[in-house]
Amino acid sequence: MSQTAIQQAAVTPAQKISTGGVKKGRNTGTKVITANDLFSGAVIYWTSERTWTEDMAKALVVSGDDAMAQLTVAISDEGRSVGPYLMDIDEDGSPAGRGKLRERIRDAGPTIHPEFARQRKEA
Amino acid sequence: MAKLLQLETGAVVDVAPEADLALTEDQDLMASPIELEGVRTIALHFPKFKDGRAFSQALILRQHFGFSGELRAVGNVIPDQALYLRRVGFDVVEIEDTARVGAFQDALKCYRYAYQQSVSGVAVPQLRSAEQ
Amino acid sequence: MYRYDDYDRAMVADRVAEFRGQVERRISGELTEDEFKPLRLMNGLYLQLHAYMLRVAVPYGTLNPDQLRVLASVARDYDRGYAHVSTRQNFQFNWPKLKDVPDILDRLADAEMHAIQTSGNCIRNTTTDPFAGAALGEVEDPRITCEVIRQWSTFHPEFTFLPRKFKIAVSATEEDRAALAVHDIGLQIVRSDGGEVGYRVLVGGGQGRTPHLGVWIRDFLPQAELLSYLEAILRVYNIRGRRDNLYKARIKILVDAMGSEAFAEAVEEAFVAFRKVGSGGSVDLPQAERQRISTFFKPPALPAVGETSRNNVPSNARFALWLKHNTHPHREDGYSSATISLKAPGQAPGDVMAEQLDAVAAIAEKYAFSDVRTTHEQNMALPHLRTDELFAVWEALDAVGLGEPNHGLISDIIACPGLDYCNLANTRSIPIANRIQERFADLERQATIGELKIKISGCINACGHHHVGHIGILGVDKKGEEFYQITLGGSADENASIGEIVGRGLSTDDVVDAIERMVARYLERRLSDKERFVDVYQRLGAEPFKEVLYGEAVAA
Repeated sequence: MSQTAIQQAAVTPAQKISTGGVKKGRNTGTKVITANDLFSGAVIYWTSERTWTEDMAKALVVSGDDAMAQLTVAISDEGRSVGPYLMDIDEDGSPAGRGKLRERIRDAGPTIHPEFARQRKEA
Repeated sequence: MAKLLQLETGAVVDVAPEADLALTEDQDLMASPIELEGVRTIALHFPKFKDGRAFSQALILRQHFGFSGELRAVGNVIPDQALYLRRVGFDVVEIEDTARVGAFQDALKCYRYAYQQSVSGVAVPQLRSAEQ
Repeated sequence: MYRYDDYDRAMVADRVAEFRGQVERRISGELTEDEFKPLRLMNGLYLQLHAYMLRVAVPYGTLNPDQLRVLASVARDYDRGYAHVSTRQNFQFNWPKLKDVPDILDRLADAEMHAIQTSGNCIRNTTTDPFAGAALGEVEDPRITCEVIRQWSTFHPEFTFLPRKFKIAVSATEEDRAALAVHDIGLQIVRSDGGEVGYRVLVGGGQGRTPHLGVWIRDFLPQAELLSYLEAILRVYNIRGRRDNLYKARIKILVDAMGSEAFAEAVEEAFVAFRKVGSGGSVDLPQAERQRISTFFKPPALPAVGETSRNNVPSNARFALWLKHNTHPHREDGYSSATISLKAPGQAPGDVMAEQLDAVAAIAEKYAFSDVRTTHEQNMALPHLRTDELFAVWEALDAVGLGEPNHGLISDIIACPGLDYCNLANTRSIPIANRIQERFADLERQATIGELKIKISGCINACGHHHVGHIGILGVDKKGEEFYQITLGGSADENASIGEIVGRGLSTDDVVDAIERMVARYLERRLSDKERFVDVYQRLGAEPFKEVLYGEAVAA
């Protein structure tokens, strides 16, 4: 984040956003848009091709106004997804912030059922 | 232009004149009765479809106040509530989004029976008793 | 058990057809998610973290073998081979696909089951004693009342859009195995001095973020007036209950705000008004209809077995423990009731595999008069068993992993699904239950500790009933990390109480150690092995347990 951006953030607090479930947060830092698949309920992520993937590594990383704009597009895609929201990620693209554990579990499956972990093809 | 759907027949008419009396959902008819002299139409309001107070208001007006005029449901009502409205004594529902008139009409035909004795229709326990 | 007639069948069939249409309209884009969500919720279909979850109603926890086999087939064909027994005695499936749900509901309907009103702000599944119809000292089978309520509450035109969900429980014995005190309405079936059967009525109990024990507002309600009295309570609630704040919308908040006496008066007024309406307006059931329903609950013909010996069984330590902990006196000599534990070590509390459901169906047909129950403690039960066949029953159960002799013991834990499945959870619950089970795996040690009810919730909504656990564990999120707060002294039986919070939250690693220290403290302080953990807590208070909670040096 540039110095000016930090100063701006200090002046106007970032926009309040839903961060999954009943949780609320603010639109700061890097984000990925996530939702559930309408048909299977599976966890999905928004990509740069304006489509959805089950592979978090292929998710589009967004921030700031761009995050809100992409979220608006994702939300309008009701034919395939349910409840898109912005989740925090860190530099290496893994879940971060307060929702870290929740998002790790959403990505990996129930911790009590390792056999249900999502099978991904090796990239 | 909003339409009025008649809950008994499913017929649709243009919105008739304003109701004689409009009650808000927070009017507690158990605590404070109202004057109904000369009132022929009462509109009961749903601020959100999940707010079901008007269902109780309708029944109190019908059963305890003996109101026999027209009861009209206004506000945010969904098609899936049409049968419930009819069974608690509403005559008509005002539909803002006229594209949904068909969905309301279909919903009126969804269920053949009801378990509860109410102001409209014959309930299952009574049907069973009649068969015995 | 109750069997559908053409009216009941039509009601469920109409619902499934309606929902099939709603699913099609959602998939075609005709319905938005905002519009569809309340409709799917009214059919028990949630969207959780990883998938949809379908909650199937098991009215008052009663099932027959055919229904068990259908549930097993749904688990196999549409899910991942297992199902889950909930604290409302219902069944949950964790992985159904949206388009399959109407087909699942069709299959359930063929076996006289449905998912109606298993969610939403309506009257939910009425729960009762898992030993209903078999329990010693029962005034009458509470399931007659439950079925009357089931039909009355199904698609109720006035009470389907309440301020919040509404839960009713019924019990017919002095011992309360239905947790009446933490229900919106609790009905205790009693006999008046004159010998007439009726109800003692409690309102305003509940858990969640503001736990309340209900208050008794009517000492005796004649049986025939039940429905108009329930309507009076619900009407006062529907009109006066708060709708501005989700967390203040349950009837417990209204009863508390009005005061229980004023609330009771308002109910009596509404009740009197109902009864003035008379025929055509009264909802009370025709006597013939109640009679018709009650014939379905005639007890099974139990052949007289006379004097049998419980000792006439092979010596087997595990079975001996099962006999001690998992069996319950039956009203007939020579018969027993039994709890099937769904709390085997390493298993998610309440989870049951499809093959296990099939096995229980076969066992129920062979030994248990085809009568199976689910319990609000996330177990199952067989209410009618010949005492001289208990060993054979246990062996058959144990062969499929259902013979765990731990009912009421420290490993018989209630846990909500928690953050492994639930969209609302702050923390996980099941792994904590599993760690406790692992630590106390030794069954002899569990038996020595005796009755100790641990209940775990992964958030303040309290689905794991932590408020009424002898030891309650509440998961709290602190900056993205899981912590667990302990409550002590809760109870959901006839001496119900809300547990007291003791101290700050413990980390995942510390919580099991803390429980072990508190158990050790209990064993030191108890006067005899008859004095349970919760009894010692009631005698000595929280202090002795607080002393050891964080592992500080123990005072001599």
